[in-house]
Amino acid sequence: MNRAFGPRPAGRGPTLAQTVDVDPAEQTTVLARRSAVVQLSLAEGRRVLLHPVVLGAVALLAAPWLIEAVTAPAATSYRVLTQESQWIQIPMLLLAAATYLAANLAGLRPFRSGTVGTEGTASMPRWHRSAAQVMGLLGVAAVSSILTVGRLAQLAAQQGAAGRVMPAELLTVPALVLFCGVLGLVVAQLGRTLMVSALILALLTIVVLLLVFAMSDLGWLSLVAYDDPFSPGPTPSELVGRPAGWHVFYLLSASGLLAVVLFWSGGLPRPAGVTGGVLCAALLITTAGAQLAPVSEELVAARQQARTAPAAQQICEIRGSITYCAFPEFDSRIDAWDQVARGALAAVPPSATPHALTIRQRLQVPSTGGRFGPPPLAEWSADDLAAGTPDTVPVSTRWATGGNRVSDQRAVLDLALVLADRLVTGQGLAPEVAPRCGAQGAIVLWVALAADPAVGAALDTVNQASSSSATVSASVLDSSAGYFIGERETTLGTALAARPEARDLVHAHWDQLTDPATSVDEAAELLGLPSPDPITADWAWCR
Amino acid sequence: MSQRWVPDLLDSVRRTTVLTPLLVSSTLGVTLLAALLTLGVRLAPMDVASTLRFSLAVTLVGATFLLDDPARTSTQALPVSPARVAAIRLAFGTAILTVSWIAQLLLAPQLSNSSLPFDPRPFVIEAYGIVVWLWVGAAWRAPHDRKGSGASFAAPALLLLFVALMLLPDSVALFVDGDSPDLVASRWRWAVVLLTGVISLALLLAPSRRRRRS
Repeated sequence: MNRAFGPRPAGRGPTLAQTVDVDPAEQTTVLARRSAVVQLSLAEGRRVLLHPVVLGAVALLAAPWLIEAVTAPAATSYRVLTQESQWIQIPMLLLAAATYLAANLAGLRPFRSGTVGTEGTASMPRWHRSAAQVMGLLGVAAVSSILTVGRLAQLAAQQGAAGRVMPAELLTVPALVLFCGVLGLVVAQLGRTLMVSALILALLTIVVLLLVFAMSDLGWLSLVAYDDPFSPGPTPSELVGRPAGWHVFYLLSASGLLAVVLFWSGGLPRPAGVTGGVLCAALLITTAGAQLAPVSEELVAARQQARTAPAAQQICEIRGSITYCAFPEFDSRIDAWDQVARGALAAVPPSATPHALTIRQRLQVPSTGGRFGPPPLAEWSADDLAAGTPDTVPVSTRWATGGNRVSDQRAVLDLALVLADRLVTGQGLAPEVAPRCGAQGAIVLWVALAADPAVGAALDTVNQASSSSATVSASVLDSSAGYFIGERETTLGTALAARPEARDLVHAHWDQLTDPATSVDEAAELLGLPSPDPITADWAWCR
Repeated sequence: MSQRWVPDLLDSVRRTTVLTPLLVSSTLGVTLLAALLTLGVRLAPMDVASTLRFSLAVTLVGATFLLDDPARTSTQALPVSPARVAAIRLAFGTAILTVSWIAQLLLAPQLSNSSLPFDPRPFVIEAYGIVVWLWVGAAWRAPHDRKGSGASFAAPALLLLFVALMLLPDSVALFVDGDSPDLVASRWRWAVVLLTGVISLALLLAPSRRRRRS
């Protein structure tokens, strides 16, 4: 204190009190109070941060991430950081709820300990103590930021990470932690019992959950908005268009308004309270409105172009006879696609290998009326011709080679099957599901499985989540287009994949095996494998 | 022995039991599922199970206050042991929880978008397995709390307990999907959780009776 308020050395200019012409004694009191508020905020911040419920929440958030990083790093590969920036807000709601409870218990301390009646005798006004409690929440908000950034850094460092970290989405996390903390303090001040606080938390959970499920724009008026531009799949970050920045200001202005209510109940001078309240309310209304503004027409057009004619937005990389075209943020996936594509080409005889092949990344096809939508094949074809890359093979913005992300691993299987079908049948993608029966179906599956071990692993994961693992079906890019490989064909194809000499056998009988007229039984005989059991069901796509 | 004092005792304990939060949270839990149904939300069976557990978490918020005794000084003077008073309170709470939980279990299948029916019966035990441990926590904390409230521990614990249960590894998972092959094994694990919880609660409440007699 002496160092801060003692006489200044000569020649250093006027003192603060002389400059603003205020009574030095009064100035000293103001500065001392500010210092006391800062000291109290440090103490309150430490108490909230070290509260068991906050520590428990941090542990429950961080432990699975650490365990995953050590024991199953493949599960965190091929993540789209644009999506992850948004999705991380959902688990961080746990820390926000924990902060609410810890702050609430701190706010209830005078009521629970029975000292509320003696507060008037304290030298520090109550709203100063409330201000210290609000400032103390910055510590836990900082911890939430560290957790968020740490998790995103972990995902960004993994193989095949794509997309871009969205700073505004990350800033939402500390903003919502701060909001929940201030709400906990206000509820403590007004409700005065833990019972009220807990029931308000339950009510808040319901509101957030309903708005998340409703998936309406009103979600932006809640804590986290689940308005999902990633449905039905990841998109380049410039096409996302979420008003995340406005949402951060919305949460901060809501926190500010709650803080003013808290300070007001603690004796904040009327002019400051009115000014702060009006300012925060104006900000809240402005940011709420800005969040609910419709998406610009330019963005809608850009999204549509990316779905139907993405060539102009993509970069291409030529590797031998294969050209890979991807949205720039997804070029880290080319290595993985190349591994599958080279494996598929190596599985077929050189005579069946095309001179040139282009694999082009495409966005998932939105569903129509709850059913798989038709792929825009005509638009894709025109775009490919204009780009000088006809008959491209589509590949999704999704990808995964480990973990349990079924829809992402399905993309691996889809690429392998589309490629295998192109190489075996020579046909392009049809608007409806194409059944591949007979020897041809078994060979399509074998080429796909021989392409890369990741394809077999993906098939296992998909089968585990599926009601039927006896057949293989693929819906390319979640559209109505795809392939169906029958039960007997699947049995023969997987049995063939288990044999080390399969490649030589298939190459020796390639023409017969890829002939649509060759049956499964004939193929089994050619390959020296037992014929699969006959189908007993009344109806089957492939018999 | 005459049983005429029983209604008086039940009425006396009921009036000193914190039932309002449980009544409110039980209503909120049912409201959540009813609101989702009204909004036309239809979910995959896996998501129906998660939503049912969310509504259970909301319901159990009120249960954490059941053993709080705002009239502790009065109830200590009752001619029955504190353990018996606590048992009566737990019976009241279990009854309210059961009514709400049955309503939620009946509403949940309506949320399913699957052609296969959602069977809520395997989920019945989960509510009791969790609530008994919340009451264990509350009963453990109450003697150490300045106001004799165990909810200051149990309410935050509820939040962490639910998330911890979600994160359990597959080999010891308690929250599993209705169509999981691990469903039966997980129900046995729930039975162990419930049984150990009941024993722990009985042990926690019993010493106060011994102290009273001495």
